[in-house]
Amino acid sequence: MIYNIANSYSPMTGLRHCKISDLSGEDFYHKQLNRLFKEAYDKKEVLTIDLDGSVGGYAPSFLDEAFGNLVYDFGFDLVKTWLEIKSEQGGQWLEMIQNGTFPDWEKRRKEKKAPTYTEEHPERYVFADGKMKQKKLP
Amino acid sequence: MEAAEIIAIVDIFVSAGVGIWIVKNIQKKLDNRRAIKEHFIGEILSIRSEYRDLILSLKSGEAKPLSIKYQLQRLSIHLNGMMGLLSHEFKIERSFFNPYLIDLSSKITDDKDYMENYRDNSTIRFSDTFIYDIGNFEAENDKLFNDLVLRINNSK
Repeated sequence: MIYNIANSYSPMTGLRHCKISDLSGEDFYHKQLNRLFKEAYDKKEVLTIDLDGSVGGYAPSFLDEAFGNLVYDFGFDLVKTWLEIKSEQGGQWLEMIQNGTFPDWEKRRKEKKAPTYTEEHPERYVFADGKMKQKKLP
Repeated sequence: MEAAEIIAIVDIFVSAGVGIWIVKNIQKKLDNRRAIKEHFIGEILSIRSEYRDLILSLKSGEAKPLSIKYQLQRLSIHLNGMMGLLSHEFKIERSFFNPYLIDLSSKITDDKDYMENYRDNSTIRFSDTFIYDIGNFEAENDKLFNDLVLRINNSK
């Protein structure tokens, strides 16, 4: 599955949380990425997220919040198996997500330090005790 | 003149001709290499100058969040494109500027004043602390551009 953020979510993206900006990383995760990842996992297909083509690029906090929540809900092992991120224009973001976001949020997951939710979101999928579950916030 | 002498004279001319051709050819290649290096060095200095202008605009108190974000993206695409060519041409790591690009974007877009003005895209007057920090960041990272120029110059 290939998903381009600029084409399928929005050409412009915001900052970390819904409270401070529209089209935030928090919003993108809960409206799109959580469900897409679950679908890819069910189909046993790698989900490829393409970062290119955005208008104005990305704030690091947008990417950190979106992909960090993914690791928090599904765990790093599952994410590294079923997710690929690509970008020709912003190689630095791949490095940041791989070397910063993933390990930081996996640590956070193990320490059970929940993400901050600044808006109501529908139920989301999480991977716990070896299976997919739907979970209400928080 | 004997045949052997004629052959010797021809041999001298041929050797000299080949020598001249080799020297000219090498010189041409060296000139091309120098021109390529100078082109890239010029590009790097131009990008550095644009980053300096961006940081100057942050200090001016007249910049707006979206315009800053656009500039960061434009410069990042420019720099990434150039690093792709440099890695191919001079074997310099493509990721050379990655920490710089990540840190600069994070410093700006995670700043409290930037976040507060983002939704309305209002002009940002950054705090003195931010101005001080970004000035230090600029000074500390200026050497990256010089390092890159040196590496291009020293490469074969």
